[in-house]
Amino acid sequence: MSIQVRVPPALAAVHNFIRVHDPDEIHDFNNDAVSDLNPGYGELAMGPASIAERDEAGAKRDRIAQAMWGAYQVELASRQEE
Amino acid sequence: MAPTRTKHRLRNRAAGVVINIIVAAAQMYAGPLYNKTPYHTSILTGEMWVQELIAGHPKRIRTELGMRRNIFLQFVQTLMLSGLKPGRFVSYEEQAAIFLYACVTGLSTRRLGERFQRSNDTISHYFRAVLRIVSSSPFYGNYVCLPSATFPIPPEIRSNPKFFPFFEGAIGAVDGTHIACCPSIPERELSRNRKGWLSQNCLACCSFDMQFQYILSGWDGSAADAAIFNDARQSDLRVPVGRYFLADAGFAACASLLIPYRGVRYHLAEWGQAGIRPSNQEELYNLRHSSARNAVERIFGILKRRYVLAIFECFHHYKA
Repeated sequence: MSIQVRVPPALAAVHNFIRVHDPDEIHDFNNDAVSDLNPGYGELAMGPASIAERDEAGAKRDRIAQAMWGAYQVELASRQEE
Repeated sequence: MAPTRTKHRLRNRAAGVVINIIVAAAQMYAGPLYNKTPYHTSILTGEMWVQELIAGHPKRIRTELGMRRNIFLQFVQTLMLSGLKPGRFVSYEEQAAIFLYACVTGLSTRRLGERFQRSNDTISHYFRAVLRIVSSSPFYGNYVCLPSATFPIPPEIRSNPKFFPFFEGAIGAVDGTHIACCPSIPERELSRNRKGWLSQNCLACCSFDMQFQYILSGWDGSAADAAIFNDARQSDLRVPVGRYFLADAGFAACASLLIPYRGVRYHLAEWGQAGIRPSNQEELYNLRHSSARNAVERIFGILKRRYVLAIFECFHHYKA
């Protein structure tokens, strides 16, 4: 493995080392300044996942969204009553 | 005869002048090499500097090496236990400091050499030695690991009624990011000569408490996130059945990823004015998905602020 390919895993491992042994250190980074400049909406590409698998993934997402929406409507209604 | 002899003499004289010039030039050129002046003559050696950091103001070592004092000493111990070799003249502490200072500052080998009063070869050697330890087992495997099938629902999900129970299967978030290749110090000159500027695309999974769970590096900068994920999934990225990572719209749907709806508003305020509230289940889902996925964007931001060496290239890789 070439040197530069090792750099990202190495930095991640050292970051985790600090996270594990110095859990409060993360608070030194204040929230507003740390969001990545590039959140990275990558190019669209067709993964080789099968149609059935993707349909199931879509259905799972729909179930989650539907459950969320139901709970949200309840919450919304209770806020309007107040 | 006479003219010929004169010519001869002239030629000899001319040859003499040329030789003199060559000798003078050679002396000028070689002079500094023969009277070699020592380069690293500072009275503050690297070892002394590291000892100063350890004994000095607690914020100093945190700033220079990116770790508090005790964590640094623990890091050195862990490197030793993970197989770091003793240097002939360079202590374990200095080896670790060379590596960390290179990561924190992103400086070139020569400038690191000035800081530590060491030759380029020495700097490069110990940077690589520590890099190799940190990026391979046992160190790497101990600190960067994927969740197992018995991984509990993360507290960040469980304790938030906006996420729980909807995202109870989420074990983390995944994203791709670009890391410049050239900041790898020992290879900086090489990569610049080859292509000018290079980047590598990395896939990273991270937990909601801001730890990396998986890194796949070394892909060409032009590779799409979805393609890299597919490669990872078939080689060494194992996701327990029924669990998944949150991913952005650049990934393709599959059993181990939960992605947002495309073509639906993504950034909304849940309880804001009626006009910007989510108005259907897709919008609400995208809103909460985005806020849960935020951890991965923050972790990249923190890594970038921690280590200049991980300059994340932002602009020209994504075709919006």
